[in-house]
Amino acid sequence: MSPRALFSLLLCTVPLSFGFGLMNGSLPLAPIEVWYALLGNNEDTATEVLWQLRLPRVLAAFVCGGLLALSGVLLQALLRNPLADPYILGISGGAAVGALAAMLLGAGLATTQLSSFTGALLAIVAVFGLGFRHGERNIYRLLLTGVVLSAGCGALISLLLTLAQGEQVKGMLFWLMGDLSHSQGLPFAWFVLLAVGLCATVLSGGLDVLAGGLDKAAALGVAVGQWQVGLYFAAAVLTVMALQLGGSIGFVGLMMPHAIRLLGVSAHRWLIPSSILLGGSFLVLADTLARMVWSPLQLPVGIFTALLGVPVLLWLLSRRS
Amino acid sequence: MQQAFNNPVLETHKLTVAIGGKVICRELDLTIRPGECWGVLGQNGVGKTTLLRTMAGLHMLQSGMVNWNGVALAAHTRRNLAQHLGVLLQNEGGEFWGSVQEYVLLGRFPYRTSLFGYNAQDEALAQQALAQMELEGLAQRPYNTLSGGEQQRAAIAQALAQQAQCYLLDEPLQHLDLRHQAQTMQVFSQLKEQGCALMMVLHDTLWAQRCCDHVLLLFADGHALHGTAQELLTRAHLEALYQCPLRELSLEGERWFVAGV
Repeated sequence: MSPRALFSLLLCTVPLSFGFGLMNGSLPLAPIEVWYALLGNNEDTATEVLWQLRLPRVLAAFVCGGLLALSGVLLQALLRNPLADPYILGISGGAAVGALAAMLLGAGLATTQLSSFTGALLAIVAVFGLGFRHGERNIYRLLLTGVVLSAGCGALISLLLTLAQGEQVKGMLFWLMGDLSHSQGLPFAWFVLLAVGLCATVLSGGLDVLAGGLDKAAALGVAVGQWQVGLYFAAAVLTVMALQLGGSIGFVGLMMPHAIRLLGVSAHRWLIPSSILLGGSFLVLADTLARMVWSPLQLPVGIFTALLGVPVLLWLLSRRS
Repeated sequence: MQQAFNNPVLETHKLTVAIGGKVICRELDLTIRPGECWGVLGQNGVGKTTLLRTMAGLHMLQSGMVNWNGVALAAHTRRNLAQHLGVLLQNEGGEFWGSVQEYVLLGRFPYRTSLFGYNAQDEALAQQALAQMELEGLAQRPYNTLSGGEQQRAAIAQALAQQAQCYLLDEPLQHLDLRHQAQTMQVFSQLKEQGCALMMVLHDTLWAQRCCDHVLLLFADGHALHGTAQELLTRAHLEALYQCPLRELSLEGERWFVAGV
């Protein structure tokens, strides 16, 4: 598929996924009801549900998916490793330890958010300080530092889950598997996504070169050290924003870029915007299903990102070989 | 004009290079001028690649300096350097998911002015490089589905698209079949005739004799010999270099060196 065609197709899926997300939930709405409610002329339940609950939720799901997918693209270029995802450098581990510790102490939503933010920042600084040597073209140290830190956080997460009791555990599991019901700071997240996405697309030529190897990139005129620092912090900011919106939602950041590549688009100029669109639409779909399937009970969205994504990717992979 | 043409492009002054505590060369003085072709020979692990990477500014030198056009390498921006100095690496260590054509087009990255892509001239030069390496038929294939030899030719095509004045080539003939070895060396000879300077790591002494006018012999103890190919590519020097007995065969004015068993 040509990059342009794929991008146009993905652009068309955005209104479809939004429509699907707005129509479904514990109170199903017909398309015409959604339309009237969006116009906001009458003050009925539908209007209220749509403006107060569904629209913010769908916007949060989309921006969160976009952030994760973009972060995945940048990290895969930085680490030149197809298994890199937004959580590989320990950022989500730090955030999870922060969030769970706050929950264990019975903190409210705002304190939990702040605590997870602090945990993520500490992880970012620790991995960068320990793992990055300026002028050294060896990125494995960074990667391994992140993986080691993640393992340490994993142990702490298990400890916190063991110490927690009853209802606390459920809240913690929701955080760990991703949950978009408490999203805050939506306008800022959209601003970050659009700004970083635009910058990355403009600078995509350098990313193409960088993905081909560090010495090669330097030989072709890329200031490798500066790019590495820039990519690391850009990906870190995106990941932190996504974690703040929806906890650690798995699968999106790792797999959306690969899905686009498997469809035959790998130049970053198209890979970046396509991955953002696919990640956003995909997470809206998964989140809507998480609200619908067991309605009125809501399930963690992370379950659906994996359940939906795994078969599609396995099919794409087998088709290729 | 003649004077300017003969100014050295790449020079080393008292260059000492080490890697992991092992000294590769001590106080090496080399002068590479336009139109010269240098062969670098030595045993495995003697540091040929590291020396080449140092001369490309990709490896920190211990002491001394490497100059491009009379100015230290470090004083040039990477982009400026990449417009003049092409490097063919032995091992790229990257993942490239795009087509062969897109891969070769990356050679034009140092000249890219638009943020949104490559211009028609870049495309034409990439196409020309693909043709030179007989890769037109593979242009649309995904790069990572190519064989080792085809990937090597694509890497050379990428370097050719870069249109550098000086090339540092690390084992340019690796993985190539006999026909493509000959054809690649012919392309390099044409570059040399056009005034391009070349320095290549080779293991085949025959290609060194045919194409190189100068050679650099790197010995395992960190000393180096350099001079014209004629005076250095002798059995005595090569036996000392590779530390094994060699047999010399002559045919139609060319000399082959074959390792004795």
